[in-house]
Amino acid sequence: MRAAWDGSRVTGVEIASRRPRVANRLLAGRTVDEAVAMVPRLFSLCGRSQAVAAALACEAAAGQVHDARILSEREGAVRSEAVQEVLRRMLLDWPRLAGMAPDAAALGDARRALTGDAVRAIVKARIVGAGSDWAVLDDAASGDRWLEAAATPVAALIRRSAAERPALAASEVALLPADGEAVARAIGVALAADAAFERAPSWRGAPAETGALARMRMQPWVAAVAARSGRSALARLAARGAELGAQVRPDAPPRARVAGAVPIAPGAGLGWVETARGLLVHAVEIAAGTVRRYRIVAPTEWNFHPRGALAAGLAGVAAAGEGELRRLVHLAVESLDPCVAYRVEVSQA
Amino acid sequence: MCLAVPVLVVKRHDGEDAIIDAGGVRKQVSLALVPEAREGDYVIVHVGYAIGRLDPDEALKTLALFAGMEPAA
Repeated sequence: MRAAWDGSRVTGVEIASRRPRVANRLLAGRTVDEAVAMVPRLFSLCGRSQAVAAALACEAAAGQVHDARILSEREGAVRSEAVQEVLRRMLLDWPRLAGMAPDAAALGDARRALTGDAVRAIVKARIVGAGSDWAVLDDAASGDRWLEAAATPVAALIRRSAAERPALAASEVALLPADGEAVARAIGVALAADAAFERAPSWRGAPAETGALARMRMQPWVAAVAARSGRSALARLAARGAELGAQVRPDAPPRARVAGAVPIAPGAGLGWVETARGLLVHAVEIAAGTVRRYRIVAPTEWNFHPRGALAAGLAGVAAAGEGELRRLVHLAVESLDPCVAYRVEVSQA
Repeated sequence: MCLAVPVLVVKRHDGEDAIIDAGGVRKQVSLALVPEAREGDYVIVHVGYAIGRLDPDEALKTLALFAGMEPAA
């Protein structure tokens, strides 16, 4: 990505993706079974979520109805993968952004435990903080008190963002509705009408943001942070922290669905999954047991759209020096958690 | 989406660091998250950390898939 900077403000942002669009090239022409088996091998960060989306899409296209137990098992796999992904960010990347040491040992423990009490204990000790109760983020006032006092790197990064630049990367870009099924249906219509929709997806004609802030916008503390700072990097970091707590606490509230299938037509179907980074949709067209067309609309495509949340949020950001500018851009990018490596270029106008 | 391109562990140093070979480019990464990885293993790397160790047959199949792909238009 390239930020044009006039010495005091960002005057323009260009985001160019060099990712190969592999899904259709690798999967078209294969049998459905081959395609479903290949998908998790192709994607490193969210292989299980990708596998679930692929299976649901292919089943929807074939007109198969899956029972509630299988869907529930798949949702469990999606949820535990999402927790691991968030932990990787919060234990390795967020400490660096906060000027603290990464905690690979805790992450290794969490990866070996995968789920359950051991992961809960790691989140409690390393993210929430040993001295804080799980309910600390339940309302705006106690969330703010947690932020003032907690010693974890996650709290430190959010606190620093709030103190230094609370409205960093705030944009007017809409949040994608938290109803994955409804959004997936609309995406199905859009994919049919627009052959390149997945490269720059839109919601009601405009870019939209997906991810933790979109899902957690109604949570009282997240809503309070967003009311003060806008749909900003700070609000996204807060939403990710609050969401992780809600996912692993022992008295977890009833959970929203995180995966589903949408039949489109005979031979065509969608699978949707709410991943750590946002809504992931796989769309498949099948004829005679063979994949004819395969498209993936991934969270990064929404959030790093050329006019999406990152590009809009960075326009106009004030920075007195190039070092400060780079630091702010990295924080804004990390708040949206891209699933690919990225490079920041600064061009001085 | 991040592609899972397998890379070869070329040399394991004492401690957690290792040199990997990604299509001819050598880099240092941390094996802290996959301490069981040995020289000759294939791993998936993300931002300086190996995050998963692969069955060698699977890794070679995946590499063959990517090798058969034309560059993106």
